[in-house]
Amino acid sequence: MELSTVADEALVDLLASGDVRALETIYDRHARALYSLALKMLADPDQAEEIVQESFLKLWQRPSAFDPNRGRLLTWLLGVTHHRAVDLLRRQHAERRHLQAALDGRAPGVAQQSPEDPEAQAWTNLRVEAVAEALADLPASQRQALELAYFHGLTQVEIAERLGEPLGTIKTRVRLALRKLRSALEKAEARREVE
Amino acid sequence: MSCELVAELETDLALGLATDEETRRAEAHVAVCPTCAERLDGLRATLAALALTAPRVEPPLRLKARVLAEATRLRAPAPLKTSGRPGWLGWLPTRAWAALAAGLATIALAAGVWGYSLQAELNRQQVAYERLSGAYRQVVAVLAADRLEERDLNGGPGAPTAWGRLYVNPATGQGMLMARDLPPPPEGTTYQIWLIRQGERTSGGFIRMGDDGVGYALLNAPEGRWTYDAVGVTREPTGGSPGPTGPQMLFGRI
Repeated sequence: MELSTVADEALVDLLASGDVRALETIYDRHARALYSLALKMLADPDQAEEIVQESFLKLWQRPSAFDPNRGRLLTWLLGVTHHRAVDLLRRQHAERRHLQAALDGRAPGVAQQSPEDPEAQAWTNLRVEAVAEALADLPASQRQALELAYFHGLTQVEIAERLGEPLGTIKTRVRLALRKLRSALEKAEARREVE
Repeated sequence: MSCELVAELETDLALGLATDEETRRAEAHVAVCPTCAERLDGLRATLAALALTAPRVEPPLRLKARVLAEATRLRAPAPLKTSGRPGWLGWLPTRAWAALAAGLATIALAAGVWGYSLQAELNRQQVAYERLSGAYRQVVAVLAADRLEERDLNGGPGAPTAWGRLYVNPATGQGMLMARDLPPPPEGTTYQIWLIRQGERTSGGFIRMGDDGVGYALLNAPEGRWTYDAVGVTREPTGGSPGPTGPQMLFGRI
């Protein structure tokens, strides 16, 4: 059976029967996204590899942990990778160079197109572009708070301490930033449905 | 946990910043509350899109090999049976074709005789063949490495007539151990592999033997590169031992 055209959800079903080719196909589709996230968060290729390996093996060992009714496989895998990276960052007390990079306020790049599953990839790119644009439009203080929380794994208390701002202010900034990003995503989805 | 509390915590939950206890309680609520589930899943989808704004970097090729090798090790397929042909590498493709041929033969017979049982048998053969194919691909991945070193292993006191061969990519630490003429381990025991460096022994996993005395195991050096000077196999209680306690079955210096 040719797996390259099989949907993610069906591939996950195949994992339960020990099909390594299904895992390989899932890896080919999503490893780059997971590795890019882990590398951005950890700034250490060896640690990023470790986190990505753990993420795929978690799916391999317990495919039922992914519930297709709760979202896409890529969202789930990114969540696992993010969670593990946050754990690692906390163990390491979030190195100062990550913070400095975030405090510089560098804008992130936009994802490139992957050769696999072009239709799904095009839709992913549309969503990413919408979020990237919304991120760029955020007030710098909101973008900074959100990036420190998401990409650097700092708690909102830690962000407040780092920036010398009240905790309530930081909570508001993160919440507003997330709300604006979600709104941008919903608008992109609505546009797609109309088209 | 109530809807209000989940709403209060949803930012921390989506960002993975909530405590384990908060997450556990919130997930219990979300499992029975579609409204909260939709809101939280929406935030997570948003953050997934945010994650994808990270500059794209290709993972190194070795990572894929490591993930697949570790997956194979964690959930090894059923022991393989040989075709009876001589040679170390010859039995691999032959076995794959033999499995396919067996599947087709079974299908042909079932079509004439068993009617409805055909589909079940077909499915079973397909699963068996795909498992075999998956293992085969892993073996090929190791053997196809640019740098591959081979070493012979000799039978130890526990199996004087046994022999084996080790294939190692020293750059990645990936390798494969093949063993022949090892008898099936007695009930309650298993064959454990030891990676040896300056007399210090680290478990390299287990080797599963077929009924015909042939087996293989994929190896992964914990440090990601090969730094060992010898490899051994001993018979240990099922589940393995922290260090070798049973008779030595195979041994080879590198």
